[in-house]
Amino acid sequence: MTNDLLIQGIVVGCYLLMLAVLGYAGWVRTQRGSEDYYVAGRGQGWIVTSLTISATYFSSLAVLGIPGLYHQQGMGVVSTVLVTMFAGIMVPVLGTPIWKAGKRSGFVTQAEMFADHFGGNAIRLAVSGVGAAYCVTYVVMQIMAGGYIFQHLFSSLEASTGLNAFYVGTTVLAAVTAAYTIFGGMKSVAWTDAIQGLLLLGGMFGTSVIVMLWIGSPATIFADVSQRDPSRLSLPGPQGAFPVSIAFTLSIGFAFGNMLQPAQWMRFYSAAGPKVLGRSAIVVGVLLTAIMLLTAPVVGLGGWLEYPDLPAADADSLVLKIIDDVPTEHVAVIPGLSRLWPILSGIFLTAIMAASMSTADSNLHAMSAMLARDVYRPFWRPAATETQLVQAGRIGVIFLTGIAVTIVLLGSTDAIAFIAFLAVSFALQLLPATLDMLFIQRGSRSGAVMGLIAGVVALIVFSGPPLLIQWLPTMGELKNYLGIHFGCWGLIINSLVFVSITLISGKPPRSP
Amino acid sequence: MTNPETANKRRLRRVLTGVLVIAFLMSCGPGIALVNRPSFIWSIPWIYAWAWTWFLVITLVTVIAYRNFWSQTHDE
Repeated sequence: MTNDLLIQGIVVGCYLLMLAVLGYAGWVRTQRGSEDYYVAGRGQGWIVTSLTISATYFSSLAVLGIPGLYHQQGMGVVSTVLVTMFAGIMVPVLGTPIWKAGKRSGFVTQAEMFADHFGGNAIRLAVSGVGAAYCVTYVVMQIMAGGYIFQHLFSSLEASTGLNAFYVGTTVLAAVTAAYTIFGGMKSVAWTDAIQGLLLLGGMFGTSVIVMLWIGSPATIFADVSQRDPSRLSLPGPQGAFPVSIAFTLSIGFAFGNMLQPAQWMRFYSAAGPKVLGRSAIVVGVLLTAIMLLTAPVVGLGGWLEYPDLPAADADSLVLKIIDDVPTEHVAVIPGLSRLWPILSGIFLTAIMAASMSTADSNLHAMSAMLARDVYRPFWRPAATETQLVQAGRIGVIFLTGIAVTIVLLGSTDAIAFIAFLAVSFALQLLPATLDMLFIQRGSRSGAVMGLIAGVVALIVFSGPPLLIQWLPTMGELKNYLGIHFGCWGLIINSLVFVSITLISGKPPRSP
Repeated sequence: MTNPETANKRRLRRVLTGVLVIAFLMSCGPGIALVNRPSFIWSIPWIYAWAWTWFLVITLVTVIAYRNFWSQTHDE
């Protein structure tokens, strides 16, 4: 192993140690009750709330997947990135009524709120099932990114030891994330998210600065791209895979689906109040979008100029390749930077890891809450104490981490961006029932349940047979009938079924 | 009689919602077709400049909504 790799390894090691300390601090400060473990006693301030919502939203997709997508599809991806602004606006718009209901009735999971509103356990199971599909898919995506980083750090050891660095990285990242989630609950997850959020923002900025030092200013990069392949500056991109209709329907999925995921819902409960959610809208919607708009096109298109033949399957490793290959003389333009480069590159790797872990921990934590409060208590032990609920959730984290690691080890290596599209498509199916529950209040229980089921079935069918056969299809096999993304097909059919069955069955009496 | 402040707020809410819907359609939806060409404006690709323009519009809506609605809830 070279000295540079050793230093990078030490930086990553220090980061993992810091997570362990924060996990311990969260454990010490968490009371015995499940409300404290799952929603941090509903007292989170705006800084932690904004950063944990941002870090949960901005996963490995932001630091690895989106630059890779710009590399493959060109500048047209910018329209889908801009949708982060609308996701930010959803924080107070959806979050405030959700926060009020949570405070009033003590909800911890999203399914509890649906079950209370529509009544019955069928809606509880349907909502939990959709939430679990989102969470498992997203955790798989995040721990894969850990595998890529270890592959980068320890590739030289692979030949000598015979160890598969990707598998080791996947397992280590999953184990560390599960450990601090188990011990500290929401407090650990939110505190680590806050640090991880700052790290990933710094990493995104840093990588774009490195690309500019190496390849040129954004204007130079855009001009060079235009000369070499002008199709990369408009839709549908060089491969014709990103027409306006797909950009639009994908944007609907990201604007709403990502904010309806179970982990974000729990962050709405955890906030100290609506004003906190309002401030978070500015951080998530304005600040993060600005950073994404500034950095990712430079990295993705600049990366294409340097690596035009990088295959689609390796697009996610573009940022890692840039960190690895940037020539020292370019870094040395800034005095002293070349000497600090091994440490800085270690921090960049840590930022990528932070992006992955901040989303993985949130989803593991949300799934553990679902297992404890939506499955264990209603179906297994109705008289469970608060301590038993926390213990059930902790066991759930171990179980669910095992499932996610197994899926990755069994060979799912699809593009991070595609897995993200699949996950948000699942969460998007919660939109009709959520809008009805929060604002319209005319839907029926059977309409909500059947709509959800129809939506999920439709998105699986419209995504193409490979999803049914090999768990996740590759980007090339993606089918978008009539130019509409499969998540939106699910949403259309879901809404039609919800409205039709509500009209047939009539509105049921509501709980007061 | 309607409270004038409430009526004003309601009107503002409708205007902001309308602007957001238009912004969504223009920035992420069919509106992209208006600038979907591989050429430049002031050394910036059209589609990139379009995204930044709508970014500024939505930022303005977010700040107005924060000042008028989201910072004035008294439930904490």
